Amino acid sequence: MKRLLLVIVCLMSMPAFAMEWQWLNEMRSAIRDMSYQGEYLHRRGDETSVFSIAHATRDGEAVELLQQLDGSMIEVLREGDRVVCYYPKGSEDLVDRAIPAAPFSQMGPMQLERIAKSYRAMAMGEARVAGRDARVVSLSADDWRYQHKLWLDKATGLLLQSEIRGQDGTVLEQFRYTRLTIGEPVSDQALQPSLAKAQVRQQTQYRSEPEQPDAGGFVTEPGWLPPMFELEMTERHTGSDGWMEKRVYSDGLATFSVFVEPAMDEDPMDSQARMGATHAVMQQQGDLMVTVIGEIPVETARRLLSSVQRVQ
Amino acid sequence: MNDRVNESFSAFLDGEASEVDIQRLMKALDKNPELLDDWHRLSQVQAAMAGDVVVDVGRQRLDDSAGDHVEPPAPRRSLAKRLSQMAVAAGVAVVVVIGARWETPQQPDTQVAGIQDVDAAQARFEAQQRLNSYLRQHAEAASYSSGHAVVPSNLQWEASE
Repeated sequence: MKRLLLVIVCLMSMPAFAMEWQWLNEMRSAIRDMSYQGEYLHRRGDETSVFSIAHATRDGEAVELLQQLDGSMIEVLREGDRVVCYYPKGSEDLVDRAIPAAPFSQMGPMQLERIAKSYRAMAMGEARVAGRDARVVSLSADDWRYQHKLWLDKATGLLLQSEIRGQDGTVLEQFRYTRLTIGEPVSDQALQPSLAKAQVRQQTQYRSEPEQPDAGGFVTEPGWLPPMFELEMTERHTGSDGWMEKRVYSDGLATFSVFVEPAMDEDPMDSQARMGATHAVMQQQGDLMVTVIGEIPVETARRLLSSVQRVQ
Repeated sequence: MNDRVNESFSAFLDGEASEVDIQRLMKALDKNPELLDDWHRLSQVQAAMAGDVVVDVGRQRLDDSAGDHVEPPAPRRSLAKRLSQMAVAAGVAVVVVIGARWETPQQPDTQVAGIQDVDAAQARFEAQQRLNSYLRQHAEAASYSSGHAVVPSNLQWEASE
């Protein structure tokens, strides 16, 4: 009887399940392959910034120009794997800050099967964003993770708005188009950084997929992980002032990094900071100084941190 | 320029000062030692706005160090010395205001101003620099899975024409 019930439940939920994941699949290719121009707002905690975006494909490669419209004039040009950031003179102190791009625009294919192991996708009806009709999809999971809510363009599948929410429903981070045209040709002019000719500083970076993680030779490890998080990246440095071990984990959607180094003799300092959905906790753990940073609730970060120990 | 300096000082109070902020503050202090007074007031205003109780013990130390700028200034003072000057200007507010963002559960009674605060402020500053570097590394790693941010690499600066 139980088994029969299970089958019925599965049959009932299957079509809905498939449909929402199909939308997410479309979203990823729409972000990469479509032509669009507009303005988006990015809010992280109490910090808000507005960017203009022009996105098109040239010779089979995605080309994208972002311009910050408030604060300092910063421009980012992405051509395939090449990223160039332009800064006006006098804004050197901004270089350390990450520039918010559209969520999912930087990554490779969506690892939907992996995400589906931890998150439940649910259609939440329809809404209007930037003058366009959108489907709303929520991705919810256990208490170790945040919830995600996505607004996808009905006509093209493009991501129009996304939110990371705490367990109580508070919006921690928001990305939202305020104005957007999709499918019209984007001129070469619109993809030309205006700072490129002026007196500016620029830096270029090539993105490459990180190497396979290898924690061989590591002297510490977390004794606990939230379910379904897998090791993505490892790094170990040794220097005159000791060593540092870095591990990065992801469940396909959320990411956290664990940094471990020997604790100094000076008085131990516990620090905690939060920017939007990103929590950072730094704490001494025995003779180790452990830092956990990630788009995870602080309870998850603290439990992770206290589980870090030397490899037996 | 003055606004910039004040912004940097605010960042310092908030525990968010970058390397550039600190350098900017030091340069301004070299040009105009009177700034120390302004900053002291600024720190009180900020602390009051944040709802912190301001105990004005920084003033005393400020007067003690007032004789300093009569002597010819040393060509290069150590970071610690400069930091401590700024911490003095900020008085007790440094500890209280930074504490608002950087919770220190183990030391609830750090509101005693003095040299310890200066050391603590410097230790905090160093810890924060390290944390900033970690935050950046994390953002870069996270962009491969969730792709929320474009992270500029800080490896090389090129001046472009």
